[in-house]
Amino acid sequence: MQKLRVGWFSFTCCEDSTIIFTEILNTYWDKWKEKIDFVNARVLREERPIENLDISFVEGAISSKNQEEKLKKIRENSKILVAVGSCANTAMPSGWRNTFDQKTKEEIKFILERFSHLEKVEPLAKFVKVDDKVLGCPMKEEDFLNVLNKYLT
Amino acid sequence: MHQGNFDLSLDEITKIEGHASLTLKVRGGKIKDLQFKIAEFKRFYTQAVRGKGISAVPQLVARICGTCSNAHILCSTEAIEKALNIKNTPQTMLLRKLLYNGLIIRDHGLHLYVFSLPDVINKESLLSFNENDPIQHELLHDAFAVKEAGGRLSTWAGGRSVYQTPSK
Repeated sequence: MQKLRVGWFSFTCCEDSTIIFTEILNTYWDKWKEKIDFVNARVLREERPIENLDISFVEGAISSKNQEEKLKKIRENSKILVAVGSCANTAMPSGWRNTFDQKTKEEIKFILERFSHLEKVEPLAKFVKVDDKVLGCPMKEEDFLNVLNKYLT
Repeated sequence: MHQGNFDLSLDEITKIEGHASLTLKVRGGKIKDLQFKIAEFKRFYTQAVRGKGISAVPQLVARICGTCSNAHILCSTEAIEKALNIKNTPQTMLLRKLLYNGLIIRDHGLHLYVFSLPDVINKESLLSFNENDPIQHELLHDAFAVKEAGGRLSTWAGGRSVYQTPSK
């Protein structure tokens, strides 16, 4: 049986769902090793080309043009794209600056300009089609397993 | 060991928590230039917590980092308690210590086994370990067992291993 090709990607966030994911491996690796190839997962392995993925799990919000372009590349190379956690689905709390008053926005403006931030922090769905969601901050383990198991048949 | 002249550029350093890149220039066997860049995008937590209710702050600042969220919660809780002159019972302090120890066990397990060990034994990833090799098999399963033990201790003492509510 051909293994499911899975990618795990992170943008602007605290990577809490990455931690939950690495913890889930404690229990599930033995079951998954014959069924899943974790092709892209920066926390676990060396960088590889983003190509021909069955499912991509993407956490974090989008803060820059480069991130937007990488997200689109992930989308183009994934049959299913799953937005994982609060930041990917709602842009919060990474997007707190979207809600700042004018005085605070002026205070941080030079940093946004210096490091080429987008004007607003955005959820994934602003730029690409999202096929499935895992909500929570961090993601709910059970919800992640339910989504993964849908495609593991 | 590399000799002579070479350049090295890593756009995304892997097997770390967070985003970083590195460029290295070596001439005549000596490092002439090395740049390590944190490639994270700023989330402005310092500004974001202004004006928020004091009891909400530990859970807000916990989102600075998913790996060490418990440390951020405990640190901000302690700062608030000192400001308000709140004294805790020995039991509360013991529970917090256990919570923190759980974080240290899980986090050091992650760093040692998942981030560092593959390079030590010349493997690309922990997930590439050869389970037919007795040593690699043992290391792989030790990795999962140690991380699990740390997570369970934090969950027992604080309710969750990530973003728990510390004992009051």
